[in-house]
Amino acid sequence: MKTKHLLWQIFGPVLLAVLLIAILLSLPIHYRKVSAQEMRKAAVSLDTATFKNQFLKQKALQNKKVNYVPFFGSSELERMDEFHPSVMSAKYYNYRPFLLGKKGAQSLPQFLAMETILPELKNRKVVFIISPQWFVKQGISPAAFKYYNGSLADLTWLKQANPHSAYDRYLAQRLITLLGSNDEVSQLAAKIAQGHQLSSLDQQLISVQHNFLWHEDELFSRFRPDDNYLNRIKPRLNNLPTKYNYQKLQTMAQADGQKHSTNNHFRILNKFYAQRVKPHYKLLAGAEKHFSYLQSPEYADLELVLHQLAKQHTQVLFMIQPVNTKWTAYTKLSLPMYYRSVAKIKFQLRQQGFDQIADYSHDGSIPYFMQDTIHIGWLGWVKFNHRVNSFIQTKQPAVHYHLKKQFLSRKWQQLKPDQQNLQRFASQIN
Amino acid sequence: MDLEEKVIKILADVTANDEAEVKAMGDQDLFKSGFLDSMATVELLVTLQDELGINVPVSEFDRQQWNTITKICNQIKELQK
Amino acid sequence: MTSFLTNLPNLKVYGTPTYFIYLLLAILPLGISLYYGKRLVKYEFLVNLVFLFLMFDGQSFPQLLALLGFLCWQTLIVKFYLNYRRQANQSSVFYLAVFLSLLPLVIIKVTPALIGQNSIIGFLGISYLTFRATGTVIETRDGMIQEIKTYHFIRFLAFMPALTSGPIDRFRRFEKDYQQLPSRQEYLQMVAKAVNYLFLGFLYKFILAYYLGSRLLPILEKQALFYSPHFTWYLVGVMYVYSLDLFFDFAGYSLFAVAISYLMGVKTPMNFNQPFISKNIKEFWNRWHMTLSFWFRDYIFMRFVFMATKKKWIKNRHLLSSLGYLLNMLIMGCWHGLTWYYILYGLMHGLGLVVNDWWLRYKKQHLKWLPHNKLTTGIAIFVTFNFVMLSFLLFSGFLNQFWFGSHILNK
Repeated sequence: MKTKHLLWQIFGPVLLAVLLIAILLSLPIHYRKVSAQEMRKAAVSLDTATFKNQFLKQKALQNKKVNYVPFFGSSELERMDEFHPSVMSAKYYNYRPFLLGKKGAQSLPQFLAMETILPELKNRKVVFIISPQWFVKQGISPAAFKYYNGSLADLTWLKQANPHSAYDRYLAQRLITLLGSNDEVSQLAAKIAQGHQLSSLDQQLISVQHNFLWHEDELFSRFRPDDNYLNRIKPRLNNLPTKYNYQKLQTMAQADGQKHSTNNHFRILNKFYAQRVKPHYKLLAGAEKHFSYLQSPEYADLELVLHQLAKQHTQVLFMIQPVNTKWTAYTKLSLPMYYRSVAKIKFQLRQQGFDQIADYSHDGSIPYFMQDTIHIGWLGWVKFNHRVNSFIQTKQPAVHYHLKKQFLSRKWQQLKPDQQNLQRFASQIN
Repeated sequence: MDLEEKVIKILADVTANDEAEVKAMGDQDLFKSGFLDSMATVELLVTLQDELGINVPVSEFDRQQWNTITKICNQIKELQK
Repeated sequence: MTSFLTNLPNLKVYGTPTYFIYLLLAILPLGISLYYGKRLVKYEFLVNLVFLFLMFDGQSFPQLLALLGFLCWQTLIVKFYLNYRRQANQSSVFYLAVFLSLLPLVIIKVTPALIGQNSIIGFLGISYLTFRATGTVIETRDGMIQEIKTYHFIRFLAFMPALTSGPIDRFRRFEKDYQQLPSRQEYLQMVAKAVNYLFLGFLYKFILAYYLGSRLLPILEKQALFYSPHFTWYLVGVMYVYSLDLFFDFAGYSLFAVAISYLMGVKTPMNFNQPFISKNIKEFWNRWHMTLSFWFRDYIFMRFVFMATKKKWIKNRHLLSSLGYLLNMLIMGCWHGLTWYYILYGLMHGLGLVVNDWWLRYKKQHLKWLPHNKLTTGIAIFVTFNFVMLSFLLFSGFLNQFWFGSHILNK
């Protein structure tokens, strides 16, 4: 009797704690509101957990007071100089970018990041920045994918994945490849890939887990690092002129670029040059000679994103990133190859009705358009912001997307784009 | 001179205290109070060996068994048998 | 075979909630049988083996081989020496045995300084296993250990809960726990403590150490390095945050090790006892990383001083104890690694102990009027705490980066 009492004394509190946690994480109660400051910080935090989860993104996009515009992109979003979209919009525009994506976040992570905010994307205006550098032979690396992959987004997708949809089967196959077949998500995805419905037991387990993860996200999203706003955005606001003057800002951006790229002849930001280029300077000569962005699974991954956006009738402004031509002359990246990859990307967009494209691929030789080797900055940001602003301010015509499944095919992924090939492909799909 | 007096004298020697101060410790824990430290312990062991012919290996020295004057006396009696 | 092994998942010891779930499930049968007054010896062996394997499989597979080799080596030394000690007691043989027992550790400590990379005979936790083995040799010399069964010794040496970072148990104490099972009441008390330690460990390691070490420290380090080599207050921040992180991380780990041992019916000694309330540096070493500090005290300091007193090398006891402290702490510093900052760290604590002794004597002789009250105690704690913090800043190696590292722009 006495030992029973003792046992209860020892394990009672543990059981109680477990029970309380289970209750906390499973009851369909919402615990917290998000303040305007918190949204403002989250929008520029570039935090990976925020990217792959739901709560902060959702709350920011749902709020009525500030118009957050999702900016899907990758490493260029980390270039927070005076003319970065988050800085300039805070100073001049009536919208705020919600930055989604960092170095290595390509189409698939973006697709899954969208998965948790689908209702919020409905009929919304968004910006999507494409880097041709994504379109390498293997597509996204498994390591990069795993870094940006989160269970909440995976399960959100699995909950409504349709084994009869070519898109869902394609994604399922990609998840298995990238996560490895032992992964829990991969094992569920395998059923979809084979064209089978998930069992009701699967569905229930997904629901329970999803609910846990959702609450975890809600509760712990308050503990995420959010120092970008205070350290990198706010201090820069005072460096911009009070009144918006497009001409003056362009001159300013160029002067700024000139001032900060003095230790090299590539017009690359000094710090970037000293850290990333100089130590390997010799090795980099001719290093990109054999690079090719022409054939890649990334084209089909991008198609998933397009399909997603089309379903939500989202209005998208695409931006295509330039390369620094002084730099490519040194690394011997083939510009004809680069232009052909851009043509292939634009073909895929245009063929399906995505007509809003800010194509900067030919602007990489304009002085200070870019901040370093492959990232837009300074003058580039000023022009881009101007374009985004007019996209946001003007009422856009209703979208007419017409998706073509053939863009998922291996044939398209591997198609070598030239005038003839593209035309032939167009005639086959129409 | 009985054993306890001897022990008190030795303890006074190795800790550089008066015998009265040692006596004042009573049944307090000599280590916890900082009265005995490693250095003094070693001197205690050496003195016991020299004066009483008791051999206590350092490994055998368990602080829990030697932490009051009474316990020290008991240990010595035990080892003298 | 090898490629298969290197592909297996590797479980970081006490690293994730999953690890705890596996571990607790695995030792549950042990706990139930201990509750009913039995020890499942074979099952325990199996659990130890499986978890050792999981620690060292995958990419760390070569370490598993190193561990096996190490266990054979130490067992042979201990068995041979015990056999010899039953017949004779030559000092030279004893020193040879100690030397051989320390040899693997010496090799892996010296190798990086010589050839710039780690020795292949190293594995995670080798220091702690060496201390256990060498301690056993020393106690055998003293005649305290009369019998060592091979399996018992290996079980002691490679005791899974405390393998990678201690605490450092002693063979005689460890064996006692196996010879004498705890009663049901005793065992339940141990379980109660274990549960408490586990949760305290969670708080220390997964909340406090995580916040300090993974969140706060990188920010402060970056700021401090930005202005390096010039002093800023960020450096002071680095000092406190690093030191507290060190404590919570290590104490948390130690709590896990002790808790799991308790559940397995073994009273592994505690490693920390509120070190930051120490009133002087000597007290600090009785509260900080206790099993290591006691090992050094018993097997290095006391032995050195004992011998020097008996052989009358040095008559002046204050000089002798000072030398003992310096020797003790310098060896400890070198054990951490042969870099300037570890050695200086050892020296700093050695000198700290010397000054501390001197101060206590001086106070007793000349400052009898100095009151012993809350204020003076507080000052003592404050001074000790900050001395320790400063020594940990040295210990962290951050100053190496701060003063001699490449500038941040070149990284």
